[in-house]
Amino acid sequence: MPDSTYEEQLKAANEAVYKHSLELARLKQELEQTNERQETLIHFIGHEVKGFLTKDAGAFASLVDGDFGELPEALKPFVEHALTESRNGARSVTDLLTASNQKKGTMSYTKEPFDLKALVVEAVEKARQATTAKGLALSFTADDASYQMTGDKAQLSDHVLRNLIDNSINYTPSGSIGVSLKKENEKIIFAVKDTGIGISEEDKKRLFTEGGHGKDSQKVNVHSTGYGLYIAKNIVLAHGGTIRVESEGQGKGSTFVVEFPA
Amino acid sequence: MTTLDQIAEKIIGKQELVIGPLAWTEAGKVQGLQIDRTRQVTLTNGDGDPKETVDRLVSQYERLFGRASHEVCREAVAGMLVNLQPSEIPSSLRA
Repeated sequence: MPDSTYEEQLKAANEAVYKHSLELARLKQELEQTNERQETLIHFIGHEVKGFLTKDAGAFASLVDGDFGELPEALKPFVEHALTESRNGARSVTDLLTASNQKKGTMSYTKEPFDLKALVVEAVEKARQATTAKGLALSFTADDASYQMTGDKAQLSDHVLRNLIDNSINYTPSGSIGVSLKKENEKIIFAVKDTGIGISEEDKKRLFTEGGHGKDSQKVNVHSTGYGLYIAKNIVLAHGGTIRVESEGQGKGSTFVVEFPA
Repeated sequence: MTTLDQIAEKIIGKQELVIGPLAWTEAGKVQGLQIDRTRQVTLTNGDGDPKETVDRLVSQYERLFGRASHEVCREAVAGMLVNLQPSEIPSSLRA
């Protein structure tokens, strides 16, 4: 039977631990409130910056399109570069805002029937100019099956299909990109296969996480926010699907596979 | 769910933030307090006064964790007590 001194010491230790836990709980709450305020501020700044970048992009696009007359030849590359950069900037900020909305659970999805195949064809065609400029071969294969789906067409197009294709372009210095669509075992399978820099086992683990860059990804793509695949994963999950990457390692290309219930 | 049930649940919830799931284990030992699978709390003190069950809950924590835990209980429900008559407030929670 423990003596009373022992019991008193035990009780005192228990109380001390409780006080520490109480302090930790208070700090945790304070931290959560600070994070929430900071996130709200970042969200506000993000919206403001996005607005400026979008306006800039609009102005540069007008110049490139000749709305104010033919641009002097010497000026064209600068304006075209400025247009690309402001579009990249707006896209990066949009990614951050989207990821923030997904985290807060304030992301809303519209549900409408659409043809996934038509959406993939559109995404491939939009990517053609970039692949041609980089000297990459771009192909698309699909069978004659119906690819009718219900979901958020715009989110899937911008953040999943185009994101995966654009990623392949960014991380493939030479060779080819193959986009495919097929139906198998009551699943719609969309895949983007490239002959690019590949992905190490270590990078695969963090690729779909929030801000999860590949180890050297920013050396290859300076605009990488680390949120693109995180956003894509959340959107795919919201549509009852799965997303994964297959790669035999660095320098051996990658295949991103998205599966939706058919 | 009565106000006293809500008060008991609020106290346990607040203690959980500090000591984790142990808060529910300890609450489960209090006579006259029942916790269902969804962690909804009911004071079932038979013919007894449910205020006493709340007092027993508060002292269950205080016995283990000292005066600080008593203060946590009071702070947790301070906002709920303003709607009660003084005679309806468990003695352990009175100022």
